[in-house]
Amino acid sequence: MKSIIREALILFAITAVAGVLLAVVNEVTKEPIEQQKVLAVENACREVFPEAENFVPMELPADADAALLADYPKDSVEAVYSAEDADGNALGVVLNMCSKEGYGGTIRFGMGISEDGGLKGVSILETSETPGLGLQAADVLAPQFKDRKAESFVYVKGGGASAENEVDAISSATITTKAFVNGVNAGLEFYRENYSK
Amino acid sequence: MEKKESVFKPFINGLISENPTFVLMLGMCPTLAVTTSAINGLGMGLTTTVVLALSNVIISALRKVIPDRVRIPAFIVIIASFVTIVGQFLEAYLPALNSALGMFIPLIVVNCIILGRAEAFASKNGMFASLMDGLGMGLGFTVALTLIGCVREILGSFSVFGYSFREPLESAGMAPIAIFVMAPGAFFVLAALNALMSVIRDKQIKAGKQSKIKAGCGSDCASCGDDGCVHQFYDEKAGEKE
Repeated sequence: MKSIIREALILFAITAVAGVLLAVVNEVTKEPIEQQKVLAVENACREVFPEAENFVPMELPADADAALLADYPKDSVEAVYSAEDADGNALGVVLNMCSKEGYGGTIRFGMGISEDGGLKGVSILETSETPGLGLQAADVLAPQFKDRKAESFVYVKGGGASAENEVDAISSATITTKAFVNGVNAGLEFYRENYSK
Repeated sequence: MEKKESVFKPFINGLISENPTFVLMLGMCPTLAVTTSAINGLGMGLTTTVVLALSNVIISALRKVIPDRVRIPAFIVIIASFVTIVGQFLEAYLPALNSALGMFIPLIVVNCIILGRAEAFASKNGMFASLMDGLGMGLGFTVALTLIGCVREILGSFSVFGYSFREPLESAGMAPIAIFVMAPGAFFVLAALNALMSVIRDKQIKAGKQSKIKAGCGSDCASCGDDGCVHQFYDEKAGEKE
């Protein structure tokens, strides 16, 4: 009986010390982690909208997903930032999109859209696609959307995309390509419905 | 035999003789999962090394205080605390590595190398020896993971440490063997490297030399008759065995 109490007290002492230590570490790292998160968002936005100076978070329209569900059931908009120049003039928006039809699950990416509805750039934020195949989306697919303007995009297999709205698919990774292109189209539609003037 | 062994013996032991990945076969889940590229293997290995060395030292320091019957929860609390601390520092100061390793950082808690070394080594040996064991085992794990990552990255995506040589090879008509970066590739590469270690060991033994590479034993010292085992040598209860 005595040994049980002794053992419990020792275990309690160890967990108590560990708890205090973790609280201290949490306090120390809280601010840097917040800063890293802000920085990560800002860098991601800047990558798809290099001209803009500031990115101000905007509220999502209440029926944002419902509007997309009809045409793009697997895509959703997770965040919208207003891209502004140094003087606070709106240049366009940055959308954080999420597609659920990737080969390895969800694909999250950011896309910058200028006032005229043209794409500024697209960059992948989070992906668990297959390395060597779908994971190449960042190198093969995303750059193709830089400064392009089209109502909606289609992908072409086997290379040789030439028309205004065509992009080359990633070879052997059609599912990723489809998810990504659909996601971009969903974002464009979302922009037209909510922010287009 | 010298009475006092080199302080680096546990270090070499972890790095080569009882390499956790190639000899002890511990920590297979992160080994197979994160080694899709060399840099991931290296990052995972080093993170684990830090946790392993710190938890080994603390567990060794507390080995006389922790009662036998509650040692496992005590070890887990210590290990989990260090993993959380290391994870938070990574998130705060090395966000790129943090996002590359993702879920596998919190999962270091259940990496059996760490609990295995706490149980088999740190709970029986002094702090310095335990530190050396943690560093050796950790670096052995790091080397193994980096090697597997290199092979998989080279064969599977024609690059190494992010440096791509894809284009010249592709224009020469070669395509990367994508299966090597997928799950089955991890098993192939692990098996091949493991076989290589065994071949080296067998050759050394055939040549009459004593191989530095040990046969895997799973650190089950209680039911082990190996008198030359380094664990037993460092076991305080065993005293000056050998």
